Amino acid sequence: MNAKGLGFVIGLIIGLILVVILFRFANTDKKLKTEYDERQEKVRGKAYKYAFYTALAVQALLCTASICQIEIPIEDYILHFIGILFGCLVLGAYCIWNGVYWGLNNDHKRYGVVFAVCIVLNLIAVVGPVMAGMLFEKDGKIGMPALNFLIIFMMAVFGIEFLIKGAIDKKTDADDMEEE
Amino acid sequence: MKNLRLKAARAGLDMSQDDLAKAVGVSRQTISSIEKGDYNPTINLCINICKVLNKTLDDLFWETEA
Repeated sequence: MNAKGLGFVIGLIIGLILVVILFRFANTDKKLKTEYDERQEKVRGKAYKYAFYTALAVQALLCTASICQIEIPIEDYILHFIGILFGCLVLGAYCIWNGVYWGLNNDHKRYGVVFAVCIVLNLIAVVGPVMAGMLFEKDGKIGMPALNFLIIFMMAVFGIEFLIKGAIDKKTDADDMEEE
Repeated sequence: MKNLRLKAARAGLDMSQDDLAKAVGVSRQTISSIEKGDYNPTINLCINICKVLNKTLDDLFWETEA
């Protein structure tokens, strides 16, 4: 295994450990697993289905592009993550829109802190190489920062959707209160 | 079809959707969806709701002709 590969594996392991710690911190009962009620489980099942189809479609598109020798200016090892990330985007977006993003034991404020830390870390990972003129690798393709940029994009979509959904829910709740 | 009887029973006990949701261990949106008729709860959840609101299944969930 080369130095880059070793660094990537170590980074992944550290990332996984961090995720476990952060999830425990962000859940009110300090459990790793988020609890959902029966309706949430049902809607999330649909969300996972759509996320799976999306990941399949993106991977098929990337595979087709590769066969057709269409050059994508992103490193191959990052391309493998694109399908996964688009799947996550669909999963999160569908869950937010249907009000099943938050589990019963999630502390929204703590999750907000986790998201903020995640955005800052990814921003640093994008801005750093851009400032140092190291965005492109030797073959002229974008490496790791492309992944960080996609994560920031996903977070931005979630953030905007949370705001829109929050405004809609507020209006609906106000109408319900008037009816009562 | 909206479940107005559930809404009335909840309001009768001066409970908000959030209060009822916490009492039966579901999210507020789930109670809202049941009241709006967007979601058909399982029998277990119906029973839990009935117990909290001191009503029978017939009172809250049995369809009436009107």
